[in-house]
Amino acid sequence: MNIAVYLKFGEDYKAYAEVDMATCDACGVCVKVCPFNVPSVTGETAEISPKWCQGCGVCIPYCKTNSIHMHYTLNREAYAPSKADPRGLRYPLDKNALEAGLALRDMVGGKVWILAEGPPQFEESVRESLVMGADEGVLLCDSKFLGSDHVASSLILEQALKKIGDCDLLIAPQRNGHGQPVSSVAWVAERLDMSYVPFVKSLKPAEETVLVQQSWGGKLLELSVSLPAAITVERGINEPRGLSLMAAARVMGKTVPHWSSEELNLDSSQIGEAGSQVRLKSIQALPRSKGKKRKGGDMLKGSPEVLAQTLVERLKEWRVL
Amino acid sequence: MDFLYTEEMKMYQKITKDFCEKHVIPTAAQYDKTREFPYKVVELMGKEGFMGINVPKEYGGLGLDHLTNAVIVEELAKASATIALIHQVHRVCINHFVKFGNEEQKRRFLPGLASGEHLGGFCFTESQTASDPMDFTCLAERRDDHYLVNGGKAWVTNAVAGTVFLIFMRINKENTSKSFNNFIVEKAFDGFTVSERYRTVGFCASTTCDFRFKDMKVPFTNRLGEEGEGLGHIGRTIHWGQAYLGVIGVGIGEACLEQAVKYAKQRVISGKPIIKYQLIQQKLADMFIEIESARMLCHKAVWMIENEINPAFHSRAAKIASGDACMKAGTEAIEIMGSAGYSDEYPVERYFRDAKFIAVGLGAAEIQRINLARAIERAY
Repeated sequence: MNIAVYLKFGEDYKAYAEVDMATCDACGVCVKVCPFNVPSVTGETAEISPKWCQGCGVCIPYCKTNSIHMHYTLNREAYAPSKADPRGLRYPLDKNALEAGLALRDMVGGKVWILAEGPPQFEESVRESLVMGADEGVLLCDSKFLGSDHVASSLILEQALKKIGDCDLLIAPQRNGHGQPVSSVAWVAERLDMSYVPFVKSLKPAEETVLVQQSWGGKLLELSVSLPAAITVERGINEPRGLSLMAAARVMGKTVPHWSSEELNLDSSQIGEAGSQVRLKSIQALPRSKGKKRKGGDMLKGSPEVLAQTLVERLKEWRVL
Repeated sequence: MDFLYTEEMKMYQKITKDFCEKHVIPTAAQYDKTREFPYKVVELMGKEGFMGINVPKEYGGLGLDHLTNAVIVEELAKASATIALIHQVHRVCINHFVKFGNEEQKRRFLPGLASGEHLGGFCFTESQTASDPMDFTCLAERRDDHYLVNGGKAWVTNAVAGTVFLIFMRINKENTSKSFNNFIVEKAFDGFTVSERYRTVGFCASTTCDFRFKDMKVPFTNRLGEEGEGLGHIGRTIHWGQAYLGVIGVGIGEACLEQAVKYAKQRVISGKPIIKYQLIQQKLADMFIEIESARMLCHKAVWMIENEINPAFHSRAAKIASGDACMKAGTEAIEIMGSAGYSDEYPVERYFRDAKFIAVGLGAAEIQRINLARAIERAY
């Protein structure tokens, strides 16, 4: 069975916080809460350097005057030469997707391809996938891919699948490392006439099909899915295997091929921002709720023994215990 | 010149760490307590390829370079110094075969050693003598079609579980540089007996014993190198061993530092974590300086081995520095952790017990210092 595992790495958009000079009262709370020590209060307002801001958004809810807004720009720096550490496979669900493919291959034979989309520093992620046991790995890497929405992303994946030849099963994580659903798989399945099953909780081979368990609306459905198929897997589907020393010795020193838009026969009008119908412009914190004030809890006092006893009584009262 | 690990080294380090977290760390304390040889872990290490990291690819190993070997050994030592020592002695045996064995010997022994089917060992010291080969008595006398071996070897690591041993013996009773040879001895040979195990302070699961040989026949095909070449060869093997023993010490020291820092961050006294107190800070800083210095020396010694430069000065210095660094790291870690460090609730007491061996093993630090000083006198 030829299995392709699709992984999407990197952020297409770079976020940074910007201070509204008109409303900022330079209270300095952003300086205190920023985990990266970026904001500073130099004059009558706070300043946040867009160069150093990591876009985590921690400061936004703390700002009493709602003066901090997040802005997004296309993350062109992602494809610039960088001295940043290469990135391994960090997101657990990516490993689950890969393990699903490897386990199936170990049962029925065949080949596992890694089709990873992302900037060059994620070559290490592909290599790590190979060290886990994948047979082949490619990085779909081109700055023109930046800003692709799910439809444009699916075109990239579709071309990559056509280039590797027959693919019986396409596996992807349900969400990427930034929590966004990997919806491009559904589009690929539609275009290539593959069965499509999201939220897969288990995967087994059967004759000409695969048996999957899908979590849907609080229920677990057992489905027999004809091949070729595309599935997205949920957390807990398996326990990913460790890295293999023998595979490392086989893989190390080999270069991971990069497939650009030219190699995938894609026109720049089909992909990236130009080929996307959906574009992210900016993001702002929702206005603070002006509902009821929190009543606050009771502050228990006394020795540890008394505290423990009171707590147990309360929990019993609330029927927690 | 580059002090950074290559991407490949980082990957091997990550793989080893991953393996240790899953299979070595959970069982390390148990094996240490029961003094059982960790057969399951060693078998798994064979399956995963760890036992053949320095065996060339054509003989079934991974053929990794010496610096990558050092990175892997350090990571193993951080998890369990016993596992690192078992692996180390096995690798020293392999290194000697690779360097000084003939093609037939390599084909015969290396694939089994690489897969972990055979576990290697290394015998040099004798019970009644120090580490000076001229005092050795274990004799392999040449007969028509074999060597007849009588005598014994002491303090052999992997003695119980090992199956193939590199043994350094004299071939005549003269005291010349041509009076010695190294032999490959299989435990299955008639006349080979293993004494009762020593109860060591540290490295409790590594099974250290003495060997006795009585009229043991060793075929000519098991002699490594030409007749009389043993002394020069074993000198090089000991230098490799010393450099890698230093690496194990660095791993133990690093593990002590990690535990001490973790504990000092959590332990709160008078309202603040003890890591904020200057006496603790001084101990941690000194631990780091000594461990890092030892690591640099070890890496230089290993780099010299990789580049075929005589590592005589550096491997001795690396072993001495590493022995001191890890012993100090163990002591300081226990002092930082107080009673918790002194009990088996934390692994630091095990690290402390293991650390002492680095100064004692493969030539005590005292004789190494004397030898180093003599070499310096000649060289400068």
